[in-house]
Amino acid sequence: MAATASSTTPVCAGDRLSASDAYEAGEGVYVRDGFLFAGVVGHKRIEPPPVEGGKPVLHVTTRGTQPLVPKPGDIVTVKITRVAQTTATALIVCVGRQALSTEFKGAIRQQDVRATEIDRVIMYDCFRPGDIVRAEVLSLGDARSYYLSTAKNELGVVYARSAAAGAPLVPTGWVTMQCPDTQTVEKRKVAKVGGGWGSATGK
Amino acid sequence: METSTSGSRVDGRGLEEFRTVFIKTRVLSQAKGSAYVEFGTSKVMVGVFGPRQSEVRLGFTDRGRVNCEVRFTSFSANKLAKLGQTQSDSLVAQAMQQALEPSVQLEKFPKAVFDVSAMVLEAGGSDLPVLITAASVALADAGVELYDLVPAVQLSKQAGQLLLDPSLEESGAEEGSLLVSLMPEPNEVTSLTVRGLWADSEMRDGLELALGACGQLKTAMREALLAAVEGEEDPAK
Repeated sequence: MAATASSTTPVCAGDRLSASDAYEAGEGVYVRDGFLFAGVVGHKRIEPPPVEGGKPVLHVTTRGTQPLVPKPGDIVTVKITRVAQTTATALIVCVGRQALSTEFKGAIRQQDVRATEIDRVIMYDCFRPGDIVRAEVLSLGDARSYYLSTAKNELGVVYARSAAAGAPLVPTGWVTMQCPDTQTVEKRKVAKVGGGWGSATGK
Repeated sequence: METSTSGSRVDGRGLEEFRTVFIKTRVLSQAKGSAYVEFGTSKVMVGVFGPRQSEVRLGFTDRGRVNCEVRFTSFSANKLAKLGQTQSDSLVAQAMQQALEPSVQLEKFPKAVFDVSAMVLEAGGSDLPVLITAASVALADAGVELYDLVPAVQLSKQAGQLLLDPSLEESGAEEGSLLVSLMPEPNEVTSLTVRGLWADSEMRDGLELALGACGQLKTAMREALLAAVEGEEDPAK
């Protein structure tokens, strides 16, 4: 297979890279007046056209991680900080697979917890403070926090500790998790990650 | 004291010559991006932190913000200054923020704030353009998406002559001063500050000199940033 054309020449923010009819703008590149410019300091990288007959994509990639802000549609990892009657407050600690340098506040509202039986959601049976939850960013929300949603099968609690013993709970169903030490069953909105749940019960 | 002869200055520089410029990035490990810049005896250190969440009292905004803070060390000037931010410090911070904000692609960071913390280690004259230049290098080092770097220069008008990058003594004796910060590639001025009386022809000459000097300065900024990038592995390989 032909190697992807790539250049090792580093470019600086503001450098003009090419005319915009030769390449599509990728990450770290912006368009102005018919030209592509680098937006960050890094290395140029050219990607083959995603569709047949399309233009190659030009990226500029930086060392380490770029500053990251949650965007609507992102899958984020959050830690629940407070549970109220209609809202669970959380701190966004990861966006996708990248940890954030500082946490952003998020809120999971009652109507966004699950896709079915929205009227009968009880927040305290879905989340507890300290739980680690996978969620999707619904919108920028308000000045206080992003609005998050767990209304999909693969979203929800991925890690929780038992209220009594403090041991990590094992998911046993869509809405239940069990303590391996005391066998106590606790209610959570469980995320379906990887395979099914433990051997004890089927779906 | 003998006055300087025409065409040269007390420190031996030509009229349109910078002081010695030294720029180094990645000097603070805890900052996302950082830069240390020297212009002769003006020494500043800048760190960029964030993005972090905006304060609630500032309300909702779908564009990010740049928050600048400047501190002068107590040993940075001849007279010992009291600690904390004085009124002139916040004016410097506001001018810095005004100069930097147009260059950052803030629409890519909704509801977020970048904190630019600057410290003047030695105030050797023309401190504000050094701060703007250093902050722009630090933002680029942090990986923040920019439209262009922002070099900034200052001129002094003295006895009918225009002096580029005035030192502390020259600033004290000036009749007028001109500060320009510029994005050289789109050729857009991000801030312009004029003090004193300037005739139209003097202003035109001053702007031409300043814009040319900004181009030179951007070359130095670019070299410092690319030197840091060249020192690491190409991530595509």
